[in-house]
Amino acid sequence: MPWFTQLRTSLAAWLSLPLICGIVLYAQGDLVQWATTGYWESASGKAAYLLFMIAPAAALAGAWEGGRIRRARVAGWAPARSQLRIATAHLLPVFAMVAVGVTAAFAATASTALGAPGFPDPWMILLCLAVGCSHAVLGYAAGLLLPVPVSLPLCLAVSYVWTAYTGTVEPLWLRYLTGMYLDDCCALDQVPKTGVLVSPVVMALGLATAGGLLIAARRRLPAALGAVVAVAVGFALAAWPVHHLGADPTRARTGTQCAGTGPQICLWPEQQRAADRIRLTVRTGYARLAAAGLHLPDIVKASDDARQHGALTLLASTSPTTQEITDDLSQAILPAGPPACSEDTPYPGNAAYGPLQAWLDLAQGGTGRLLAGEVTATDIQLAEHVRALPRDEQLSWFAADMNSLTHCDTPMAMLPAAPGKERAR
Amino acid sequence: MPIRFEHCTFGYSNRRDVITDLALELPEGCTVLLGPNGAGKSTLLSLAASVRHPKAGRVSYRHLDPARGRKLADYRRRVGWMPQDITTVPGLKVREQAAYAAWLKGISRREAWDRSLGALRMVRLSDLADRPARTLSGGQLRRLGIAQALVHGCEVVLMDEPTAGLDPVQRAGFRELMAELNGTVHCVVSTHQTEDLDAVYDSTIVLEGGQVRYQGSTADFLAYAGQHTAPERRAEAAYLQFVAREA
Repeated sequence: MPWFTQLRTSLAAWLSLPLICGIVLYAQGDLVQWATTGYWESASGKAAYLLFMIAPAAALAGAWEGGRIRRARVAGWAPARSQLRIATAHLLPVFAMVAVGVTAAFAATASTALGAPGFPDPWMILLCLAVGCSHAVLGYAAGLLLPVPVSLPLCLAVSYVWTAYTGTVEPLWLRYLTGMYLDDCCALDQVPKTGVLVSPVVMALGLATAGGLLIAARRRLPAALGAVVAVAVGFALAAWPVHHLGADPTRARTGTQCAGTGPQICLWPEQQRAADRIRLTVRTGYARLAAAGLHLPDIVKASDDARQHGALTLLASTSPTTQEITDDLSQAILPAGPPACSEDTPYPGNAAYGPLQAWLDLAQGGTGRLLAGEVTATDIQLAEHVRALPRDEQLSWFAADMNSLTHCDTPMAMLPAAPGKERAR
Repeated sequence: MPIRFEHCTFGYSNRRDVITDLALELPEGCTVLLGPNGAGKSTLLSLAASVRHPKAGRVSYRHLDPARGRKLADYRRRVGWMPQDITTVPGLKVREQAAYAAWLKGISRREAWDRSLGALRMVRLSDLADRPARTLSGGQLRRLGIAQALVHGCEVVLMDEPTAGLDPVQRAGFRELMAELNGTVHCVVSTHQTEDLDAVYDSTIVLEGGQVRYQGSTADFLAYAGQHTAPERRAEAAYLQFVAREA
């Protein structure tokens, strides 16, 4: 059959446009708002989330094609081409629709990363293609084996539930088999874990193999058993690299580019456009904090694991404002989180966080006006009050409050000033 | 024609066997399969078309055994098949369906498209080439089925009841087509339409209960009818005489 006939008669050709529209509309909603701006890995993760549209459309179009072969009873025409070859020809427009859908998904989310160094994650693209095509193959097999009024809604529903709802059930790692739940990926210092990229591809291979077996040998018990084995093996192999994972599909990234001394500042390639501003602001802040009497590490890294290596973590975005850099540096100096305290007892040190951050910001040259919104007005007042004290008193206050932050039962240090008393209460 | 059945037995699922230990070599030229309903004509043709496979014995064409996976495609390319029920692929037009049938037989897309019009002309359907195939009448569908069986240029064509549902003019057209085909492809046709049998078919096979009751030239078969039988009744009379003599 000529290509134009195949396109005219394929449901995939007619589904492509609504699919693209759906993808673009959905992507322009909440999805891209939560992406890490200027980072292709994050944009790619958001694109993969759109598999919940692409995969059911592929399954539906595949089932339609299988249904056409079933209704025409083509096997009774004594075809010289194998059932798999016939299926491949009929599925080509469906595979093309999957490719178009994946392209649309990556294009629609690319707006968050345009201009950034790099490109969409090729493995995530492959993953999306593999998942979409595997659903198409299984849909075709279902269309071949079941009556159209059954196969079409069944494929649509099963594919949608598998992609969109697996994330709502325990165990959590099940979601990684679908390929869709990469939307939590990634902050600038993160990349997806290898397992969450490999697992959906392996699962897709298992599903496609099962579909292929059902297509090649219809209604035969060995083929059905083979299909079950293929799904089971695919599931087991796909589960193996992810079965220990929780809700976070990411791991630490490597590859910062370091420059300068006092401190040496290590940034991601995506931050290079703002690197001069970031480095200048950090160095200025460092100098002022040193003048205030603080001794800080010699390395600042834009990486969450920096603390483990004795460096400061600067989790700045790709294009931060000066105030954001100042805030980030302040937060980097403070403990990453509260100590592991009992849930039954209060953690009085919590009250010290705001004043300490305000003091650090002010010590770097920030103003109370710029700080508004980051910490409370009372915290700013207290910090301004401390800043007016002699350097040694400031440092002893700082050390006492840092001690309070890192211990479960140590209240924040009080000062003879009113705001301090107020806070201490 | 070397389509050969060697000790073939076939039955549908749990029912009793339709064909038992059949040994038969289909002759060259055009052969007609006669026999009462349930005699096994369609089953025999579907075995020859490799749509079904015998549960015992072997079917082969020029030493190609369709039961062997790698030979199946080669076998099917050489053997054209028109089943009794002609089905249409949803969405396809008449010419597209003929081209699709050729593509299924291993012809490239382009060549299949080019050949399809010729095949439709052969069965006088070319003026309906752009009509949706599902809108064809029963007789038109049969003609499309014949076109599909011939479109890829096979060596043998098997047709199961190709004239059922055709009006007299269309049946005459079919006879002309068979005359055209004679000498270019071997054909095996099962039919209940027996007029002009000797004008169309070189050989006759009579099946009954899955067994060959008669195999020979059509002229010899028609000789079973009395000399004074009207020409349009000769095949029927020959058949009845043959059955009576066998009994």
